[in-house]
Amino acid sequence: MNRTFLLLKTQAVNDFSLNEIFGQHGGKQGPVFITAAGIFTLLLFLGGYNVLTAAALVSMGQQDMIPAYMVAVSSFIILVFTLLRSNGILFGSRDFEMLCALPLEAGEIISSKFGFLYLINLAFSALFMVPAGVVWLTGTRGHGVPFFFYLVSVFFVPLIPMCAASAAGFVITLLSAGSRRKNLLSLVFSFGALGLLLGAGIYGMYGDVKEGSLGTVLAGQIGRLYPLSSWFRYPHRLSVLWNVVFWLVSVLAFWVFVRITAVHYTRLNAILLQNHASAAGKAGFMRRSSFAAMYRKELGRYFGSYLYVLNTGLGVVCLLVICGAICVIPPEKLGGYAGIEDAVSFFGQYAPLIVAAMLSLSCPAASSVSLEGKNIWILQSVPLPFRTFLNSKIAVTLSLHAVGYLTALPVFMLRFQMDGARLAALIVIPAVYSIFTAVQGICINCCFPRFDWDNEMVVIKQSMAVILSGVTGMLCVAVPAILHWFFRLPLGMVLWGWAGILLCVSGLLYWKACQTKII
Amino acid sequence: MLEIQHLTKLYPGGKKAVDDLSLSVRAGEICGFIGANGAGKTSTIKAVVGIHGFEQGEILIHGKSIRTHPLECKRQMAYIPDNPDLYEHLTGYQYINFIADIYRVSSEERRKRVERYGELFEMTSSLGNVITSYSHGMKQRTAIIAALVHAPSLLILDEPFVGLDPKGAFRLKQIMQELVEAGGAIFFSTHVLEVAERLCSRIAMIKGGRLVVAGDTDRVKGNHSLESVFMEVQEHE
Repeated sequence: MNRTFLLLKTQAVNDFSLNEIFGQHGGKQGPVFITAAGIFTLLLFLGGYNVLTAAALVSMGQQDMIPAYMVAVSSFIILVFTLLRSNGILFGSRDFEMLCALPLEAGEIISSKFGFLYLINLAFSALFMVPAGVVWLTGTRGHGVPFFFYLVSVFFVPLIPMCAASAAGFVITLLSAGSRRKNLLSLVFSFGALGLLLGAGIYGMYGDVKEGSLGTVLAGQIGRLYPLSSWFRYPHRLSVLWNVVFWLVSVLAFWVFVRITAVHYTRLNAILLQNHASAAGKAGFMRRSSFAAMYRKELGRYFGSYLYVLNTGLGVVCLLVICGAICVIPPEKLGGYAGIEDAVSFFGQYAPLIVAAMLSLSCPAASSVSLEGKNIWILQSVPLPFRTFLNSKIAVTLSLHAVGYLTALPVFMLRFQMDGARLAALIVIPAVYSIFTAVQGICINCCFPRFDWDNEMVVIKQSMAVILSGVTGMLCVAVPAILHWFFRLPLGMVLWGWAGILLCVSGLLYWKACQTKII
Repeated sequence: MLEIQHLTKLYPGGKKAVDDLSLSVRAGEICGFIGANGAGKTSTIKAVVGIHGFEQGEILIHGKSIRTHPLECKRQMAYIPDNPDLYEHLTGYQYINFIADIYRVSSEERRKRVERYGELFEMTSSLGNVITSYSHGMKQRTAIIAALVHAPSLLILDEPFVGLDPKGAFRLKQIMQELVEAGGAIFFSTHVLEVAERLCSRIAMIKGGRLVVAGDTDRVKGNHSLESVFMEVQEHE
């Protein structure tokens, strides 16, 4: 068996815990039903959304835009997700030393790691392109050959965005490598890159829109979002040749990326895994409460991990970026970028939900119990009630939210005129969401802890607790919006009623979390 | 078989982890590498097995440089770290087969070796279970079986006896003796000086990154115990 494939297979079995999922080989059987249900819900949600989007394009008579649109959107999402993950999987993984001691070429190792990332991202491209492709095929006639080429392209679409994002991760690592504040610099660069990317995406979709037919406008927007997507327009049968060019360019990009990173692979991993000997700090002997001690320990754990902050701080960082944008850009213009008419009224009305949604995206609590990993024995042997540990972990999530919340409050209050009721909603609703997010995250993690991880990325990004918590957070933001938009219920009433329910559920979940027997 | 020439390895920040270290281990020898915590043992070992690069010097395995011919060198040796990070969600068999596939060991040979070492370390009944269910000692035994599955001629071990029970430690010593009797060589670090004294034909002591004592065990310790020589070196060299 080819060694790259062997490495890839081993990593997939290990990182996806396939032995445990299928309850084989004496491993603790994983929650198969819940895992399957969670994945199925996500597939249904995303697949359904893409089918609806494609159907909307068909109803507008723009069915031939579907392939280019789906290629552009899936590539953009893969780019963002790979940027969040690449430094945990491609570089700085825990098996680096073991693999380096084996007779393996750096190119084989990097190809297998890239292959593992590819497997994850292939799910995205398939989820976006296949359901929409079926709508495209049924909405057009005589597109059998282009449809076949389009389907084959599903396998090539992840390669270029993955290479671009991994290269960005590689450069970020190199830029911050020399500094003692390596983590901080990496975070600043990573969030900067994500901000640029999202800004470019929004500008590409909504900024500088030229007058013309709907098709021209759409083509311009899609092309600006991802220029290579223009190779997926099918005005005539020969257009499929551009698909072949796309395949070749994708494979070439992958080959060049592997060749370049393989040369620096050992050095880069050594940089990522080494610790700078910092100057000896002063010994502090100040007495603190047990909660304060645990809270400080949790904060240290949080900010000590680049991947943890990058993946769980994104919502709060987005909120800060939105606040910054609101401060410097007139709301009407900002609304124009985001495709919102009457932005002043929109932001004034939906401000509580916008802030709450951003806070719901940041939930360090959902992986905080699992991240104890092999150190769980420390908590198990310390004479403190379990409640204290949970409180300290909840407090970290609330502290993170407080940064975004306390920034957003004055910005929204000053920028948009609000009456008393809206002001009260802006103050209370996001705070309730913050509490609920922290408590549901910790409760779900207590129900589905995972301590036997090899790579913290597995827990932070792929664990059952994080997926369930993320879906719960999204649903809780979606419920009031759906009730308001589809059932025409007054937003204020819906938000206050829903906040009351969330608060009660938070109390129940907190009680449930405290009853779990982890330690 | 192993030749380290003027090895210098720097920590980030410029401090020397290993400073101009030279030593050799010939076929049929077991060389014990002894030093206090932070003396540079693991840095040296990781440079030897190709995990870390180094700033100066040369490391030769069977006359070939680990820098210029890493794959050929690694095919000849096996490394067992002090705290083996195995793929914990694989079964013991899956992990050993993975290593055997990397080294391209034939099915017949791997079956014979896994059966033999599995029985020797009393792991046969556990190798079908996932590694997460293993104790530390069982993980160590699995790492040892995996390291031996391609019959290396040079074995590099970092604190191999940590976590092994007396029976496991006895079996490992037995295997080490067999390997050198068959013409192989072993280079291992340890803090268990009694084991080093009885097992090793050569001793190398490192302090502050520099090799301070090296030679045949009998010559190094003379009429004293290895422990007293070690303490003497630590306090006065």
